[in-house]
Amino acid sequence: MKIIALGNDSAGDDGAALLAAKALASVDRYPVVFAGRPGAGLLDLLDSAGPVVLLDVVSGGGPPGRIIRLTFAQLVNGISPAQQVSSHGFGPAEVLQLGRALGRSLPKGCFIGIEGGCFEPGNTLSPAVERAMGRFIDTVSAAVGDLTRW
Amino acid sequence: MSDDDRTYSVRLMTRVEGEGRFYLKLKGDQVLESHLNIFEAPRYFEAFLCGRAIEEVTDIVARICGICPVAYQMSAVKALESALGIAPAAAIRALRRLLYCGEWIESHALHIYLLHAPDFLGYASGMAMAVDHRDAVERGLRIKKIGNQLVAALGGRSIHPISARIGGFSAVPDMGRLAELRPALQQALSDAIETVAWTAGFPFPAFEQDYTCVCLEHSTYPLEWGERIYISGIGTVPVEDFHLQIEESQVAHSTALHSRLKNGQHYLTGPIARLNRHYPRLHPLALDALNRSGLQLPVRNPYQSIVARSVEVVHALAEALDIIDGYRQPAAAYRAYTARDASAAGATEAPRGLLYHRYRIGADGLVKEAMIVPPTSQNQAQIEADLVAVAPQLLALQHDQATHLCEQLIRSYDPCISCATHFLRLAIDRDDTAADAGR
Repeated sequence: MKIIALGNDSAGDDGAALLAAKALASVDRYPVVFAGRPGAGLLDLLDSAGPVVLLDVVSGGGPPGRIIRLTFAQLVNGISPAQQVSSHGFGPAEVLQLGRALGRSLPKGCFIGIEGGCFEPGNTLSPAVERAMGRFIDTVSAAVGDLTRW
Repeated sequence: MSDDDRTYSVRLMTRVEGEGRFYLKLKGDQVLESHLNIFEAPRYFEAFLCGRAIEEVTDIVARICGICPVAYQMSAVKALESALGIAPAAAIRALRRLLYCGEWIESHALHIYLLHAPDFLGYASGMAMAVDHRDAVERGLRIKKIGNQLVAALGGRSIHPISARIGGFSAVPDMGRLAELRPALQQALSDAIETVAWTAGFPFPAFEQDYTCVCLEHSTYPLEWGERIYISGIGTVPVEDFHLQIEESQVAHSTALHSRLKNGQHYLTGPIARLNRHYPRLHPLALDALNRSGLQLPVRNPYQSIVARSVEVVHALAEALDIIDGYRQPAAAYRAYTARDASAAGATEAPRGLLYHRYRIGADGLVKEAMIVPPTSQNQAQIEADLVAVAPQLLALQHDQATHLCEQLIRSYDPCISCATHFLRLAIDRDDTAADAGR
């Protein structure tokens, strides 16, 4: 079991997943990987025998602070191969799709994202995301509990 | 719009670092307009640096790019150490070169396999290509992985490394830490040699330009060190004076500065420029791979940059192995210094080309002025010139083929637009319905 957190802690809400992982690392016994923006390197991080909980900040047009939980299959089916953007945009969905194209199995586990609202330079969260951080951490803890129970 | 008017417009470029779009408008076979548009918010890093302690510079400039942070750190320390009147110990220089090799390996491998090769093999993305070329993509990922591991071993982490500092490193690895990377480096070297043969076999569009090449001048293949800069047709100039050789200007269609030589000439920097000037200085294994590839020198076809990049990966891996084999852990990780009033410049070879930094610092230890000239902004005028030159070929092509040819050409430069300005969110669109579409 491991937790992987993505994002940029110098770009406002983009640091929310890293902050959540930091909070969990201080109380949980599972390894936490602060991966930042690993691009295609995420493929290697996801190559794990045990379950993985992948945390990221999303920008899907929903209200800031909204939390989404997806299976990796749901995440990878959400994009088309023709939609690859830049390597900066080589995010979890693209990485999982690349892994599938290479014949690798989807990791066990899930993706949990929090909708960001402000990505300006600095390490301050927007009020809506700040308010949602407790729920975000609880959601991750619950997911970890679900995955380790089995 | 008359039947003779043609507009090739890609509003959002995919598979480049950062955001940009290109626009090419033709009337008959005449180019009316050609723009590589960069429309991201300027980043103001040069202004951010002013008033900051010189010790903070390496960490701040590393944030300019997630793909080539080492290049920014290495140019910064070179300039600041010159200003401070210190030079790193030989062992520290070797470690910096090793760190830089790691960055070249991971950056080049990413571009070759996931960003550029799909263009030649007819795929929309690296993911789509992986379905049919699984072994090749796995090979590329292996190469990229060891590049990242090398950067992490020396830099503390693979993205935005943190160990480089003025005078040396905050900490240096022991021999065991580096030796454990050796097997993967050896495998990657074999993979990289195979990569040269693979990319050399791609179908390259027939297109040549006479380039003015600009790169660092040194007795070894240029990377982390050099006191002079080579400009073909002019000769070499001291790094210290390079800013006097170029003119940076603002253009209406871009938030990145454009660089030209003082005589108005656009120029090329990056793998092709380096290879054309310095191929005799390649590691013997890289030179051998180059010779067997059949690539004709000097390279004049920008599409062949993928082969030049592949050769440089062999070079970086072979050098990395040599440096590790000769490594002796230095007694001190860094050299002490005293701040003083001074100005100095430093240049190194980022994966995408020459990266020039210039600083004025004070005895109070603060940065007073900063100037950063990244490779993509230097190449931008050349990319536009290439688009104009390729225009006659476009007339015989279907619109989508013509658009692809232009995109592929731009991507040949591996334009790190995020270095020139900022960051992403891309989709692709095409508009050929109105003369001013896509503007």
